[in-house]
Amino acid sequence: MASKASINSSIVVDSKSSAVVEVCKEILAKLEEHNFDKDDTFAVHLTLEEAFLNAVKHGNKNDPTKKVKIDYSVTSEKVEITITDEGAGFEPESVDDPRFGTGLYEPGGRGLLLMNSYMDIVKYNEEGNSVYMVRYKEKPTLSEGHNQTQV
Amino acid sequence: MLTTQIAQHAKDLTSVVLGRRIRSKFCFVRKLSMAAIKPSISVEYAGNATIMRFTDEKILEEKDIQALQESIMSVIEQAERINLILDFGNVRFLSSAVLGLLIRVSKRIYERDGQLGLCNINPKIYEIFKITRLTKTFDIYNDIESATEGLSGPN
Repeated sequence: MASKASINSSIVVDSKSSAVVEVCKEILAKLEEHNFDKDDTFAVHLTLEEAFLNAVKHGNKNDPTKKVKIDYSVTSEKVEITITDEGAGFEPESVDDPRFGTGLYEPGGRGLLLMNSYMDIVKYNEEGNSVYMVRYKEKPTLSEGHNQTQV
Repeated sequence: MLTTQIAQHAKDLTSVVLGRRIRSKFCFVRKLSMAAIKPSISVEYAGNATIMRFTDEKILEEKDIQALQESIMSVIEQAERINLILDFGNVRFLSSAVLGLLIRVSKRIYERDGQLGLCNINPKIYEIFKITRLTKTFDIYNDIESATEGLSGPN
């Protein structure tokens, strides 16, 4: 189950790709308030775009009657985001790595790789329809054991 | 009599000025509505290379990406063997959907024995290419000049 600790704001929007604009606007404004730098803002913006589009296209199968829920929390240390769709879920391990073999020449399949690269923690719930992601403002030391993980 | 002529002249002048104002306003609106219909990409030619420049800072919306793809594909189809340079100089943000567009465009170009070069990629955007290993798939140049030189060899 994806951790939802200290998530304190929620947005529920229609499942359409253009709805990501208001989601980004709200969360990125919070990052600015908490003095996250440009690299952090770029990373979170990109991750929101990728994760939200996945929820709309692959999760909710472009069904405009469905919703996407975004829970988030921004503190001076980190930003936590959980994106949940109303789809049947998926197994992250079943997605081929787009960096190798024929994947390199496929138009799609790079969203998850980018999310994993730009966030410090990426975890899915058991159903596979909810992704929990964290980015720390100051990178934790290796001994704290924070890695890009898929559960 | 003279007063009437001056008054008439002044009236004519006013309508000319107003007319100009109305016309320029109309052009501006038309320009705005065109921009709303199609995302901006410019085309120019340098020697045997075709340079297409993305003019928007952010390329994100699915419909915009689709429209850009159509614009680029139509330029590719019009050329016999295109040497296409895509200039990212204005682009500060893009998502993986744009990478998909680039893959589709490159496939079409190679099918038609053409060449593709990307240039002026901002460091943050370049990082996206690096993470996805697309730096190995695409010919990426620092600027238009080196891209033009790079693509000018025999294909």
